[in-house]
Amino acid sequence: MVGLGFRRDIHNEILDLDNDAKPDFVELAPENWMRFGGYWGSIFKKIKEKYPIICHGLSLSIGSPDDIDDEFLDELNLFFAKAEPLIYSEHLSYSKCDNAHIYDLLPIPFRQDAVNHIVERIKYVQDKLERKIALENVSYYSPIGAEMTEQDFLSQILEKSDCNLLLDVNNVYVNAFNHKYDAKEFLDNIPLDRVSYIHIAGHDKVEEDLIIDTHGQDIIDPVFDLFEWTIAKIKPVPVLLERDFNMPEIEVLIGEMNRIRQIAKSVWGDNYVVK
Amino acid sequence: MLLNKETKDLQSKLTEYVRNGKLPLIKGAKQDKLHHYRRLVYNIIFNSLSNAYPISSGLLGEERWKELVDEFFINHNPQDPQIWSFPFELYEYVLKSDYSLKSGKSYLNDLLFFEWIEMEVYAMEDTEIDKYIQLAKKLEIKDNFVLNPYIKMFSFEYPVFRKEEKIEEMEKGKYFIICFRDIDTFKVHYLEVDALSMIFIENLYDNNGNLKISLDLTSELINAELEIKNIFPLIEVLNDKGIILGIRE
Repeated sequence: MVGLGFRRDIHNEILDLDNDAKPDFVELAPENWMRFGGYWGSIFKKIKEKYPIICHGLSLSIGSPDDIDDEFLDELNLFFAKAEPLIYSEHLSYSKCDNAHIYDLLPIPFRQDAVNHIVERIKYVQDKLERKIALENVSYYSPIGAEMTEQDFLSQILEKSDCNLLLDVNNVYVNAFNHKYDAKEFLDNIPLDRVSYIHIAGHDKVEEDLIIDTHGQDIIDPVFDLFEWTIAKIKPVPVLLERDFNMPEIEVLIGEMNRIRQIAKSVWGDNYVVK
Repeated sequence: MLLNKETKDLQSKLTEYVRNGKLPLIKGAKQDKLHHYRRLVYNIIFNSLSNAYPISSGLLGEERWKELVDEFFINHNPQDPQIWSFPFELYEYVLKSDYSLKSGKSYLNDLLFFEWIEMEVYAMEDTEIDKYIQLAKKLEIKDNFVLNPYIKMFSFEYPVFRKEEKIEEMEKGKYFIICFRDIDTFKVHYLEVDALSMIFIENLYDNNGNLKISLDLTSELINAELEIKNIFPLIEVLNDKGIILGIRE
């Protein structure tokens, strides 16, 4: 299964896709569709009729020092009843602190107390939502007060909380470049058996020694190579092409989806089906 | 809580920085890279507010608009987990802080609300609408109307909805507005009405479209006997606009 992020600016194009050009699923952020009626409510119904949905959240803020927002979890549950998502994923980061949402992903200090704190929160969220969640390894541009490596931090959280991993291959590439480690070594040292979903995207190099995960460019070959290398080590899972900015013609996105499909088929077999 | 105070403080420091732009020393950080977080977060906030309030931001001008956004983001804790509806909090902030008076733009409260309410009505959650038949030429007192549920009613001090007038020259007064979404096209429209009409329409909505109760309550309030014939022209307009959808089956 190869999917595409459902962007409002190309919603008609995505809804018009058919046959080989059609993604196998679409991903959308529940926060952008919850409590929406009218035109966008009607578009949501069309999405639901045409595509399986994966939900990728923005505001759970699993790494926040603030309390989990129970009201928000209730809203999510209501939305999931309508969307029936195959997967609900979120980011291993924080986007709320000191009672303020900031609507972007900040890096959590890689520390043991943060691991313990987040593990408890994941368990709580999984109980409330009555489903396993998948957490994404996020890109970061500076560590903050780290006392352990990123791979230890991620591995401990996955193992202790029993949640799944949304492996963002581009983020591994970006972080390896920004923080000067070996991407393959990183991947060899995290529990890849937890991967339930993959993201792949493009990025922008903004400084000699810094890449920002913009989702605003085509995927580069080294990221495709890392994707191919990685999926040989895991069971088949859905793969999403993320493109949020600097949108190209839909044909370019179809071309990238096809390349992902070809790689997936070459590694996982011709008829790979995700269950 | 399992989080240590030191870890929490690190998280708070980074959050404060992305909100106020004053870079503190953060333990174990690449200080020279943190500005990217400030830039990325600030752009999200600024673009979200500018897109929600294109007229207000244009009228304030680039510099003053940026000052307002900066002040708001430093002093106000955004509460909404959904970024599309978070701009309403700027309207609330401006209202509470008397910014419009301080800035000499007394129409700003109304203008921000006008821009926000269009978005809110456009996005209102869908609801089941009762079955109805077309309005007859002659109404009967026992009639019950089915009403458009996608509606907000409010009053303004300035007629900021009148596109043909210059905002700076608008006269202060009391203006009654109905903002509603067409149930078929999803387009949002405005209708300006007089005070009596507003009272009657509010009574209709408060009483599930019951004509007799709405007439009685309105009559009571204005201390005069209203009859169907007095209100029929208004009902025709409301029906034509798609606010009264028809007679309940």
